[in-house]
Amino acid sequence: MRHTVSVADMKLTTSGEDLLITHSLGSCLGVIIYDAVASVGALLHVMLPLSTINPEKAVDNPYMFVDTGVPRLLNECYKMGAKKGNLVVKVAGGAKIGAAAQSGDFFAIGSRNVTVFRKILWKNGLMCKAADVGGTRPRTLSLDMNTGEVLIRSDGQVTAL
Amino acid sequence: MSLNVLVVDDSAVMRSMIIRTLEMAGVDIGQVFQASNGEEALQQLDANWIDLALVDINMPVMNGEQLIEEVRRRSAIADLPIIVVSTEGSQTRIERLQQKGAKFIHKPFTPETIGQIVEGVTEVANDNQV
Amino acid sequence: MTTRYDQVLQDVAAEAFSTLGFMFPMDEGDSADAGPLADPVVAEVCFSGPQSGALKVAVEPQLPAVLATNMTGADDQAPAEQQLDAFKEMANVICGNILPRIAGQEAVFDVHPPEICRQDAPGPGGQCVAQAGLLLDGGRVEVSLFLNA
Ligand SMILES: [Mg+2]
Repeated sequence: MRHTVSVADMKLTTSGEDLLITHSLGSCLGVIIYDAVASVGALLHVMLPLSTINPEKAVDNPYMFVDTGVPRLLNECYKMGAKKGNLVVKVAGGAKIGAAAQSGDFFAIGSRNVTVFRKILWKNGLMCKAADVGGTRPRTLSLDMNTGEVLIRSDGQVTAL
Repeated sequence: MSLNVLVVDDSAVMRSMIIRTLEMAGVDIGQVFQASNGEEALQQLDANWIDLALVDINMPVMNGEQLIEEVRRRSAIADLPIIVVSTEGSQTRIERLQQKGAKFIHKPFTPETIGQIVEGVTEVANDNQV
Repeated sequence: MTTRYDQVLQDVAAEAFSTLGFMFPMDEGDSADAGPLADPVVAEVCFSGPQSGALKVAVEPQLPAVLATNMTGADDQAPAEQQLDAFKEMANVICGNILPRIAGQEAVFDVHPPEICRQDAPGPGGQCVAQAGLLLDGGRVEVSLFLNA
């Protein structure tokens, strides 16, 4: 079955039949976790770097912020039997969109999202297997549970991540 | 087969970052030795069996480039696989180091870059062990 | 007129703090009119080669602790010695990365070990050819580059 992940949301599956997909990743990050051994896959579509700007919202929906969404995503995967040593982590998005595309790279939300994401992986002792971040184009990201294949569609072109 | 690793950097925090990265990359590490300059590194190399060294350039007492020259001169350790982890941006010096058989990782690095390069080198180091 | 390297220094410092220190700049412009740093911690890195001089990095007093925690990936606050070690290494990385940007990729520099300076210590000699201010999530940073004549 095909599951669409909306903005500030996460979907997790243990079914080898499923496809997880999220559309129009701009400065947002799409994070994929896949454990082939435990057959656990998850896709997170997260918007903003730090929950400190609105802690109540983060309690309400941790998947809005990278610093609360990614740890929660990892925990949910572990709960379903995923093992740290088998996890494959991939990320896409973090583009410069709209006005941010004109200004310096480091001030854009997208690159802040990437920095906080890298920080959380480092803290959790995890490597990122593949990343397609930055640039100015929106992306669609999907995980095929049957094959573990991660695809990015951008500007009508499909590439494997 | 696990590898004994020597990490040489005058920053203790940097040494711990490099060691953490090796662990995250799934490198099968035996013992880890540390040194904060080239001279200390030579002492460690004299006293211990080491399969792979990660070496900084900018260090007091004896810098990384002098260390590598010294290692290549000593027949017992001349073949030691070496990865330079440094801020060095001079193409001239990087090429000089590569001619001495060292791989190069630029600081600031991401753990993923270190992981990839170390994996490549450890395959060679493992072959040497057999 | 001497060439200024303000933007290059800004980019190099932001890149180093982000890649190695997992810190990112807050909104642009905020740091420019914030006045001098209160009670800063200062590190200096001297270099020699085709040109000699020094890089000076001044940060707000709470920043080295955040930096050390980020770099080690630890849960607990890093001990004082580790905080200064992390900060000095950051200064070393910024210095090593700015030099080829101003002197070219062929130039070979000898970058000396970074040192923590007293706040009231006289600044490095030479002419200041670049200055940059960053407002990071861990606090404010001021970087300046000096070249000897
Ligand atoms: Mg050093």
